[in-house]
Amino acid sequence: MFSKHDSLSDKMLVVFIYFSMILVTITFIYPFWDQFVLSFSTRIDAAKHEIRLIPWPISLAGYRWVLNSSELSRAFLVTVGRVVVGTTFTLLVTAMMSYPLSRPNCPFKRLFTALILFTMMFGGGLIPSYLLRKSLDLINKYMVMILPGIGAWNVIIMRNFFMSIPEEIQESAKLDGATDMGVFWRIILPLSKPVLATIALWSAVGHWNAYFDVLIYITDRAKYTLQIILRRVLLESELEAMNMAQLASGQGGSAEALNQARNLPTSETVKAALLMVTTVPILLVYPFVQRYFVKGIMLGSIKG
Amino acid sequence: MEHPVVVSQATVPRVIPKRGFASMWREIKQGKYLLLMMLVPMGLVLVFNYGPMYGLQIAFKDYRILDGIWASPWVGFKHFQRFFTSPVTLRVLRNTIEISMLRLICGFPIPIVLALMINEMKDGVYKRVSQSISYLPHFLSWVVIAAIFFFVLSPSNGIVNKIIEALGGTPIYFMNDPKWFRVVLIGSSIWQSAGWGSILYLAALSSVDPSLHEAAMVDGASRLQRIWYINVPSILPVITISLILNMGGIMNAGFDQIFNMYSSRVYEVSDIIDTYVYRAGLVSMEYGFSTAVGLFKSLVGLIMVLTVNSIARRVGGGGTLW
Repeated sequence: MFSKHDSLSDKMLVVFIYFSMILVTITFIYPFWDQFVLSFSTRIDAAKHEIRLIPWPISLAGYRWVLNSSELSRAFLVTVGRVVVGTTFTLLVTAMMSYPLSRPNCPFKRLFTALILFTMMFGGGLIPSYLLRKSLDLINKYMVMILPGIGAWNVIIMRNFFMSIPEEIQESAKLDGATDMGVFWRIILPLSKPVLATIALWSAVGHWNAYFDVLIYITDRAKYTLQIILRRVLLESELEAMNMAQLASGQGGSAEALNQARNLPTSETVKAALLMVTTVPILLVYPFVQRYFVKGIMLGSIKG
Repeated sequence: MEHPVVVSQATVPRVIPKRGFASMWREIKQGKYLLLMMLVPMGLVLVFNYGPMYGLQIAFKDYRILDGIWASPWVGFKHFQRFFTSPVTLRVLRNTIEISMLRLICGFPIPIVLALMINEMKDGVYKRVSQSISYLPHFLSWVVIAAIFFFVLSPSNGIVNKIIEALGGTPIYFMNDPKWFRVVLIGSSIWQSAGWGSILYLAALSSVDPSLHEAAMVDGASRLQRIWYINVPSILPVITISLILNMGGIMNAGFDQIFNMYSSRVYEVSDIIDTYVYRAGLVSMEYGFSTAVGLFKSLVGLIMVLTVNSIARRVGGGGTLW
């Protein structure tokens, strides 16, 4: 922490920095931790509205409600499906675009590159995009979440990475008789694991968090993803409507009902549980893959 | 996620090589597999990115669903006239620029300061964990972040108001109060992006020559002096480019964030061009008008990006795409 050159005022600065970092870390974590605690809280504790660090006693009522909801289970499956299919598709399509652009002998390379770059600076806008998808009969279809998955940013990053693979390797492969495709499959791809991982992770997170395209292009509730349900419940107060339906379908005898009532979640615990369910997958994966995200920024931003 | 965008010199792409059609054909034959490979992705780009541009013409038409784009009648600049004479326009433009500027002024320095601070920490578990935690908010969707902030700032349950009450004040309705809403926007924006933004500067700081610091320490410089006279100047090029590129995005004042956090009570201070386009188009279903406003914004944005990029290139230094 201290180096041997640190004077007293230096040491004070370092202490100040470490202390500030604690505050900063708390600031970054607390709002989220709050929801975590709330999601495990009993009805009584949730109503108390006090600041707690650990939920005790633990109540799984909120989670039970969330997991019992068929609508939410379905949305979870839809979201996972979207992430898997969408990410695979994006990876494939991006690689198919980036590799040729990275080769010096690519026909019309400058034209295509310019076309790609231009999409980053100008676009059709909200209504024209909507009208386009309507004319392609994509409204309310799963494919509308997958097909637009090619992004200029990813193409540039991947292309730059492919270009950074030394020319000698590719040339010697060509001398040994490999075609462009052969070079791609046997040399480039195996060496490209970092960039593929990075783009895959960016794409996966993007798909998991996507809500706006679902909001405007999907009308069938059965096709909803988790984020859009989260938005409806948390920000558009749909929970009350769902709650009524759920409760109405699960009434027992009076003694049983009383017992159930004590363990019932409040709307707050349910919302918190839903939020945790929507975010936990990212959090679980995050520590293991975090370095790929950071590398991705390096690949894309800093050149030379 | 907002990305800084840089483009190379705007040359007309050379489709037909200098030597004429024959060598173009040769190029195509030699690279035919490459061309084939690009077929599908390029098709997707053309369809989903350039396709909508065909629909931009309804900015000049009175779009009728039954007639479609083609048959709807032309109305010239009627929508634009409406936009430029509407009282809402001033509010929307003002909010867009003001919020972007506020974001820049308040939010831009934070990742730099954070990076400078983290850089002074000794490598180890604590440093790594703090950094990881600081990046985390960047991976949450704005739906989640909005929900979290609604709760944290809640007048009845939120910790912020609890603290205010403990200090003797009355609870503030942050999300509904036009006086406070922008503070919420900027604050949550910093919360989401400060950690992630610091990565860029930390990377730049890692390339600072350690012998400079050693020499300074021998000369008796304090840490603060070393930060100010060595670290900051070293990352000044990155800061400059970053700042310039950020200005290119001035027309994008953060749609996802505002869309999830705003409400009609705070339109006055937070309605930006994008949210206005959304409501005019998809809520009021005034397709032509919405497209016209969107087109206006896209054009101004394009001019900004091109201007900003040419400035950035003139200033020089790293951080560009090419």
